[in-house]
Amino acid sequence: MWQCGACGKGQVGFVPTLSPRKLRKPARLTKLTMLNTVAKTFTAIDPWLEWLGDRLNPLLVKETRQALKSRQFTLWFVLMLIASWLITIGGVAIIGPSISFVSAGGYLLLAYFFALAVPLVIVVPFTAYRSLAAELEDNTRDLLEVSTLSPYQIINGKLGSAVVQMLVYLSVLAPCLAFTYLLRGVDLPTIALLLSMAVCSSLALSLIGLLFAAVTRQRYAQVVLSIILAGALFLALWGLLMSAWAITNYGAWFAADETKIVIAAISSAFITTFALLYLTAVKLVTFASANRSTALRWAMVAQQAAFLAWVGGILAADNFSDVNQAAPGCGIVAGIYWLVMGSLLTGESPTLSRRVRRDLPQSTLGRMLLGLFSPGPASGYLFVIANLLTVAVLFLIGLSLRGGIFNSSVTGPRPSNVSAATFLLLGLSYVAIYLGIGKLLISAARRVAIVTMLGSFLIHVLLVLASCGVPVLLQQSISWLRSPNYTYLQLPNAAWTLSDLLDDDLTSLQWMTAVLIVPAVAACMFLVNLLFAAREADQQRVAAPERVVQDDLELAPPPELKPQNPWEEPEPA
Amino acid sequence: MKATHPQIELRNLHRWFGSTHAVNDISFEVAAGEVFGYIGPNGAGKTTSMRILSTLDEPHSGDAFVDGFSVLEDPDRVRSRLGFMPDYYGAYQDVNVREYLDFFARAYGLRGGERKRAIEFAMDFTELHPLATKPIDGLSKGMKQRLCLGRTMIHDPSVMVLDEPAAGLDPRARIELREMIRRLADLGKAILISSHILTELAEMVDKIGIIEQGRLLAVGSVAEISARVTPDSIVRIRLLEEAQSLAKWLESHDHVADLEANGAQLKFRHAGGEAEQAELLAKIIAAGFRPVEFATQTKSLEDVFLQVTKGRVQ
Ligand SMILES: Nc1ncnc2c1ncn2[C@@H]1O[C@H](COP(=O)(O)OP(=O)(O)OP(=O)(O)O)[C@@H](O)[C@H]1O
Ligand SMILES: [Mg+2]
Repeated sequence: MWQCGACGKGQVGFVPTLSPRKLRKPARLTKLTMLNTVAKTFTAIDPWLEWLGDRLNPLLVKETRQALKSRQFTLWFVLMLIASWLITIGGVAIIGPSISFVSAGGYLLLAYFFALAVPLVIVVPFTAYRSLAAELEDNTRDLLEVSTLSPYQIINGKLGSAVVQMLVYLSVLAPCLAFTYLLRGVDLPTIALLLSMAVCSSLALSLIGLLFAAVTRQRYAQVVLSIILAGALFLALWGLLMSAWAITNYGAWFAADETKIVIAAISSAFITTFALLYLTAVKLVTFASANRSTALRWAMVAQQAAFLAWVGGILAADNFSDVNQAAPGCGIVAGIYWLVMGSLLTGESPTLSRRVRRDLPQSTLGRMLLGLFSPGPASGYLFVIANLLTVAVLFLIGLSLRGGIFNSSVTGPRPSNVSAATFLLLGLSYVAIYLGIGKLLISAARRVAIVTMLGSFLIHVLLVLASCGVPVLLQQSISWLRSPNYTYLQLPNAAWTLSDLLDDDLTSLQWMTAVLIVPAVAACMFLVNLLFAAREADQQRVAAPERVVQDDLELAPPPELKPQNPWEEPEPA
Repeated sequence: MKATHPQIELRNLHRWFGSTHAVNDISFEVAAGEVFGYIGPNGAGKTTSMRILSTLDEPHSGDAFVDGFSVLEDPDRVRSRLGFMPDYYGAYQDVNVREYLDFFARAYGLRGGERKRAIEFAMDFTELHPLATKPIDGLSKGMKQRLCLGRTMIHDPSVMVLDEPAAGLDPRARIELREMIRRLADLGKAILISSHILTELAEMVDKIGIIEQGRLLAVGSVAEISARVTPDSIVRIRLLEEAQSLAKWLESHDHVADLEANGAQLKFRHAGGEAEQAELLAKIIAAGFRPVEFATQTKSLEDVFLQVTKGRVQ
């Protein structure tokens, strides 16, 4: 505590109480002037702190206050201090006098990393999860919800509290990590990489914890989710420690050329996924009649764009000579991604709330371009197909530039261009079929029951499992069908069809049949769902209620009309 | 600017829980400065409709409006105008009274001096100053209720929805609460309050709504409703002499029923209005009886409640 020299009390506002007589004493003058300056700085800083405090997230302020008083936090803090001391003393004792020439820093670094990873990867995310889940249990969730805190503020506040906690743990171990740098066998890039891995994992896992807490309000589901989350956190800890071990063992990893590219690619995947999860968490705590889809769809597009940019960049480095090899792998990644996203998007409600309809694009052009981003299951279906089509088309362009789509000669590594192109076409068709049938099933089920987004996801999972599993089961169990080879029965089975296609195991008749039938079915599915989409797009924009317009005007009155030139008379009001 | 819409409006609200029709076609309005008492037996649907009004639940059909904004379409605008005090206590650990109020003041976007004034005002109003630094989990029931009320009014909402705020309060605290609520109404707030303590409620409400099994059975002032359910009033007369002879004399009169004589006291039901009652008194005196007291007993809110509701539980 900073003490006032003159009065001995810990008062900041002591300046006016100083008597002029005391000031005149020459011996104390310098000391007092110094104090004066300090006090002045304090009084100058104070309003700034106040201003800052006002702009801080309310939840962050409250939770930091709570944490400072809570036992759990103190306990972990002390445990970490003890751990870091034990490691330091133990490490130095074991290494002993050889400390100056043995490269033992790596082991010590790993030990510290372990001491840091446990709180960062287990404690911080689980605390974040608990803090949002406890709002529900302690009946404070309703109070937060009726307040004017925005959904962004709620998620930012919870995430911010996790970051503050993380910083405290980091500050305990930072001196220790700096200490390992003084030893042999540790370099700065390794320390930096390990630290950023721990921090990023902690942040991402905290976000996942918040997602888990926000996804359902049912207590039983929360119990199950908390167990799953705990398991996932321990798995993540194990993964993180394994990769840390690998990195410290590899040595001078940063000297390799590809390292930067790998790290940059992983970072961009991390950032786009984080953005998507963040927006999902925010939309989960947003009220139901709001538009909870458009922002997420933009995030998905951004993620796909980043993915394509990386793939394109890497392929371009080799003049696109590997495009035939990259096409199936990237197709599978994109296909699974959009299948999962599609299974959720097609679970959206088909009737748009009046609130959403206020902001629908109005012009025909706007509706054509932005209609895909409007909420609704049919627009979601079209959105997914459009994105997947983009991937397919880009690769087809790549293939046609490198030898042509219909080129079946295999000079370099397989697959041939024509196989890769067929793979893309059939892959796209299967996704269109599965999602299309799933969407029709959901609309049928909605006539008799409420289908949630989770329900929609499960319907799609069952659908995909059934269409791949049932044909295999039939072929294996019915004697006159039994055959280890591909048969027409497997046409609905995307996995078998696509893998045999890639391996050139289909007879040419089978190949022809698949290429004709699967896209044809997909086109039918697409057309049927297009009809649904037309019905959905029929929901017109509505004007905002008069009361809302009036309120908006009160909040932001239109600027007064100013005269355009010096001769123009301002119109009398 | 004078608002042309009611501060609170419920419009044909319906809400089912499985096969329970918890809220069945409820509509009513509350104007600024009015206290609306919401009464009904347990499980009648009070909490459910109040939660819908507070944007915490959604109706299956119908809509509710706060200051003209739909709770379904514009919950964000509703929330800044509404204070909701639920029938349970939402507490945080390791937080004291002032910090708790400070948090909600921040949550409602109050800043700097404005926030400090709001907290001071709420603590003055609910007399929480002596407890400012007490952890909130350690508060007594009545103190918690005060804190909840303080939290509910922290952002100076124009509409307050209070679900059983008087539950668990001692008599003095109940009287204080009643005064607080009246004062809030005098500040121009529209207040919807539910309670089972009817005697308390009767003294502060302008209007009541009686709800049972999700249906609104009656809306209006206590006097209006009681006049509607039974226009009869109970008349009590005390004579100087034995009342037996007056009872006999009255038996033949119109509008009079259920005569009960007890010493000098006489009680009966009278079906006429005040004019008929005055006439009757004049006749009694003219007939030579000597009444010292002639009183018509007004029906209490409890009587009205018992007459309107049937005690069925769904
Ligand atoms: N979450 C819920 N799930 C299922 N049923 C519910 C739920 N909430 C309320 N109900 C039912 O709705 C009906 C109305 O309940 P509500 O809580 O609104 O009554 P209330 O008038 O507030 O009663 P009380 O005076 O006891 O507080 C009851 O039958 C209740 O069982
Ligand atoms: Mg209730």
